[in-house]
This record gives sequence, structure tokens and C-alpha cells, in this order.
Amino acid sequence: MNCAEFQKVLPYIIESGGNPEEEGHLASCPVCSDLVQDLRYIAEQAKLLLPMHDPSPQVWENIQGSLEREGLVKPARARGRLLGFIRKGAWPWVTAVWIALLVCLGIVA
Amino acid sequence: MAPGISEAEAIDKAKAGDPECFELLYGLHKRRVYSLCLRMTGNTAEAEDLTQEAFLQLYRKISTFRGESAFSTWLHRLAVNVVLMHLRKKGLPEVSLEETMEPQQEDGPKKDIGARDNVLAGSIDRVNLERAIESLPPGYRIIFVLHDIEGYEHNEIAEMMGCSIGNSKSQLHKARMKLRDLLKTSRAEKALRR
Repeated sequence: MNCAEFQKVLPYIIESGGNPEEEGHLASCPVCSDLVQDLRYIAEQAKLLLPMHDPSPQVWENIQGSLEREGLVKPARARGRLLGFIRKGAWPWVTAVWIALLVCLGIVA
Repeated sequence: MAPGISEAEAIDKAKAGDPECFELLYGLHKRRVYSLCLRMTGNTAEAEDLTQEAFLQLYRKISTFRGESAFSTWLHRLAVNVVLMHLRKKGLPEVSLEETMEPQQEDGPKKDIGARDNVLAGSIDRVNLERAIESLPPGYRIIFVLHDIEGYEHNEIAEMMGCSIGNSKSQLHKARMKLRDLLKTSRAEKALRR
């Protein structure tokens, strides 16, 4: 087997391994051996590439906008107002209820 | 992740329509989805549009997620399909059959003097590899990203791309060969600048 013949089948055997003749050529040919080493090294390094980039904040704004237009979510401003009312308006009432309970239970004189 | 809420809980709540939990899921997965879109398209504007589309589809389809696979796997596959659909609409780049490896001599090894010194092992850094991947022709880049970076098997790629397993292997090999050339050229240019 010569290099041209080996490299012709290389795409199909590089991961699974070849037949004895192909493996024999690989073991004895420094050029093909270097080639396979390089290709495997590239594949290994690629696996180590981590996602490195975030999309711009505009992407999330666009997603929110689309969902609001489709009626799938309430507008963020309306949700915020409701949550804000709950946060601001309910707190004094919650406190008053707790104090009343504690007084009833005789914990606070 | 907000204190007290697991991803599984966020998924359940997002399925029930909780927008804050959906935003949480977006925050957890946006980087991987965007990186996939960017690597496959090589264009930041397209990648952002596709990321947006992928998450919109996620919102519409999340109720169908049954937990048979990991959520990240399911979302990832959804994103890949969004990108491939987009590329098909643009006309999925077919790599010309004429664009093959450099012709080899019929007999005997290549006459590379000092070939053993030229192996790439230990000489690739992430930046150069990312640049080289960006430089790949689109058809090669897609297969390389799907297989070597994202970990899809050839049978999965063949199904997604509508090609044979043999074709997927052949394209991947050409992509790696092209990357090898690009990386060796880059290394040689760097050596000359010293």
C-alpha cells in the first residue's frame, strides 16, 4: 500500500482504525503517521474549545419584545409595576398582621 | 441560578409560562447557543438573529420537553436545527467535489524533508485554531463544528444534513486537512516574524 492509497481511505478509518494492511502502512510510514497525528491533534484541540462569547443584551430585549407582541408574556413594565406594588404596598400590612398575631399570642406584652 | 431554584425547577416553571424562569434559562444557555450559531455561520449579526430565533422556538416548544435527554442537549439540537434551516434557506453551501486535498504522488511518501519536525502537536493555541475555523469554507466549517466541537456523530450529522455517513466523514476529513494547512501556514508566518 502506498501513501496515496492510504490517504484515500483515511477519512473512513481515522476514527475506527483500518485493516492490517492500512495499519501496517501507518506504522511504517512517517509521512502518513505525521499526518494522522496532526489530524487527531486538531480534533482533540477542537473538543477543548469552550463557548467564549455572549450575545449582546439586545438579543434578550428582542426576545422579550417578540414574546410580548405574540401575547405570550405580559409586558415587562406591567409585570414590574405589579411586583413593585406587592413589594412596596404589602410590606407594612404583613408587618401589622404579624405584630397583631404576636400580641394575641401574648408573646409581646 | 437564583438561590433555591434548580434548573429542573426553572424548566418546570418556564413550561408553565413563568417568564422569569425562562429568562433564567436564557442566562444559563445563551453563551453555548450563541457560540454554536457564531461558529456555524461565521457572522456575529446572523449568529445573534439565530440565537434569538432559537430561544423564541424554545419558549414555544418547551412544553414538549419530556426530559428524555438533558435539557441542554435538547436545546442544543433545537439551535442546530434553527441554524441549518437558515442555511438551507440561504442555499446550504455545498463544497465542490473539485475542492479536494492537494494531489499526492502516486508512489512513495511525500518528499518532505524533516517532516517529523513539522507536526502540529503542542503548537496550536485556541486563538489560532478559532481563527482557522473561521477561515474554513462554510460547508467544511459546518461539519467540523458539528463533529469535532459539538460532538455529534456522523450518523446524526448525516441525518441533519441530508447526506450519507461517508459524505460526512469525507467532508470532515477535508475540513481537518484544510485546518492543518492553515495552522501550518500561520505557524510559519509567526516564525518568520520573529
